[in-house]
Amino acid sequence: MTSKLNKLIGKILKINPARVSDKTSPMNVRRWDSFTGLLLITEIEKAYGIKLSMDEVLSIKDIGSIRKIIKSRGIDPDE
Amino acid sequence: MSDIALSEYLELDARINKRKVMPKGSVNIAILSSFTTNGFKEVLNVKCHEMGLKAYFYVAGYNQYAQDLSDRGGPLYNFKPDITFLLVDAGSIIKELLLDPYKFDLQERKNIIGDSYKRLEGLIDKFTKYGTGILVMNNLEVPTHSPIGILETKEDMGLFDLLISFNERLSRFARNRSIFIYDCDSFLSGIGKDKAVDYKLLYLADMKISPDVIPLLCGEYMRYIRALKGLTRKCIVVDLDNTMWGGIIGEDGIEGIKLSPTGPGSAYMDFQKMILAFFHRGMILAINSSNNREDALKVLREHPYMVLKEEHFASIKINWENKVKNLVDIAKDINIGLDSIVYFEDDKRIRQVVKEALPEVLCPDLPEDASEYCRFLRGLKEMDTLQITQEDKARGIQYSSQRRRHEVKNAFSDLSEYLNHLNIKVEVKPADKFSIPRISQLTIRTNQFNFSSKRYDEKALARLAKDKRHGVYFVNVKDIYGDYGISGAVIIDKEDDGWLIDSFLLSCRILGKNVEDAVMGIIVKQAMEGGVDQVDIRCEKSGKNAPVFNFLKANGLGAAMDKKRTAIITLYKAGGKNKFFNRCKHIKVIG
Repeated sequence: MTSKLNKLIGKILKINPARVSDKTSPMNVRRWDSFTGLLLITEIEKAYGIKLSMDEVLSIKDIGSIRKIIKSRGIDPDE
Repeated sequence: MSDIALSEYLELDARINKRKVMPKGSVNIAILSSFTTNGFKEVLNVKCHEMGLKAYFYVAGYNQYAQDLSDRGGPLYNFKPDITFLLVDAGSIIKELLLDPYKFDLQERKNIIGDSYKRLEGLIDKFTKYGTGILVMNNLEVPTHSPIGILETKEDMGLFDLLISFNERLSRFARNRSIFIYDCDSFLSGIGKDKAVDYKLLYLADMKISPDVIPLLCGEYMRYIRALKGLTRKCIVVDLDNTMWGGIIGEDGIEGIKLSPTGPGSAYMDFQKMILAFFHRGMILAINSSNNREDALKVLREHPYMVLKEEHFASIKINWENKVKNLVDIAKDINIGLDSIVYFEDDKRIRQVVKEALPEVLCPDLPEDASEYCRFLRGLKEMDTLQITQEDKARGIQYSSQRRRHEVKNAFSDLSEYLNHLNIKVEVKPADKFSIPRISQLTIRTNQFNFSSKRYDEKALARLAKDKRHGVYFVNVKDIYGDYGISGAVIIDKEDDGWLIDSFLLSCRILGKNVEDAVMGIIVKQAMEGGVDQVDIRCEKSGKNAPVFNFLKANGLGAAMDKKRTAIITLYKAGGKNKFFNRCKHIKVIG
């Protein structure tokens, strides 16, 4: 089973969800530019029914930091 | 209103094969803006592609619109856009006024708005001088919040008034120019102005329009592109039972069907009224219904609340034939392509059959309940045109004359007898400012009898009409049943060594009467009188213009196009004869 978060990330950044890890970041994904990064946030907000603060958005360095933010809302990012 | 997500558009865009030749040609699109417009290009690209158009883009740098519009030799104008979208938001030009309007007194407020208006007007005026194609510009969003709250409407030239007056001036300025003001304010009201912005993205990335709204706004922009490329629907075909009225006439009878000034029948009446409004602006109407003809016609003729009458329909198919066949026959009757038709049919299964058999016909899913019909029709954005001419408004009468011509034609056993009876008069006149909008429209809409299928906007035609080395002419046709109005155009490059007819087209409404011969006869006659050595015509196969080749064949010129896509064909050489009047002796030529 691919996790919900990895599936979403894979779809928007067009990478194989199985290859998404906490270390996936703009440094190693070509399509992850500032614009796609913002779209990624809006899609995550929609998918999990949460709102990120500006500071949280600016703090995102990789998928690991996204996972942490979702968890901080008491939500399991993977299901 | 709904569309797929912006991220899905980005994905679709990345998958487009850029080398593929598109059936409907190409379009050059420029995007200029005062804020971040990431995503617009990708969405427009996908939407153009879905329509069969190849799109090329120029996207100006962030907030570079003023430089681009002013730079005559710069990248925008060098790109030669067919259509330029200009997105300027109020925040970028009058931010102080928006945030704190009443720190300024009345005169100061007027000055601020007047100055920023003038600056913008100056910029778009440059476009009309240096630019090609049309400019589509968003008007400004009128705010929904005022610092003085409920007193806002008490103020003389308050904040809201200032923005409204700005928009009015903009529309007035654009009215007689090749500039179209897109009423973005109304669009945002429709969405909900507060929902149209994602404030986080506004502050982090200066995105003034939320990613969810971008596909919808691009959908609005497509209306201009469709109109520009002549890809709009010209004809509404309606089913009758449960579409024009509630119930089934064959079962419920004329007293039993739902059609009345009160609900639920009023939903059908309003739907009919909306369709009639489309008729009044030039849409062609037709009926495709499975019924006993007399039962249904009785409703059209006698029902007190029937809004649409027989005379509004250019073609009426009420029978037990297959509805797909009826649609094909309607297209033939009216002489339009299937891709010009939108068909309103309530039966899901029939819609499915039509969609499969005739994918060119737009067969949208009518809502389940008639209360939603009007809303559905308001959301249908495939019927725009860049101008509405006198010809459009008179089209209804022209089509009912056309129906009468057909009836008479059937009474004649011999075609030439019928043509003589029509007493056709053809006139060819130089274009003037009254005829140019219609000529432009004809170049955009005419696909069948069109030699080069070149599209011209009004600005280009006005320029050519003034130029001594060119001639722009229009064709007027009349017969005993009425005036067809301006139904054709000829555009000529007048070189020293001869004339090259760059465009020659006739509206499909007047084909089959050898009017084309008369027009060419007149042009060649004029050339001979002017001592012109040679008259050539540019001919290009478009896949749709078969009538052109029938004309060439009939005049012994068919061989020139054998196995070729394009050719220059000689119609006349000094010393030769003008043979074009041979096939149109039934036509009286004026001028």
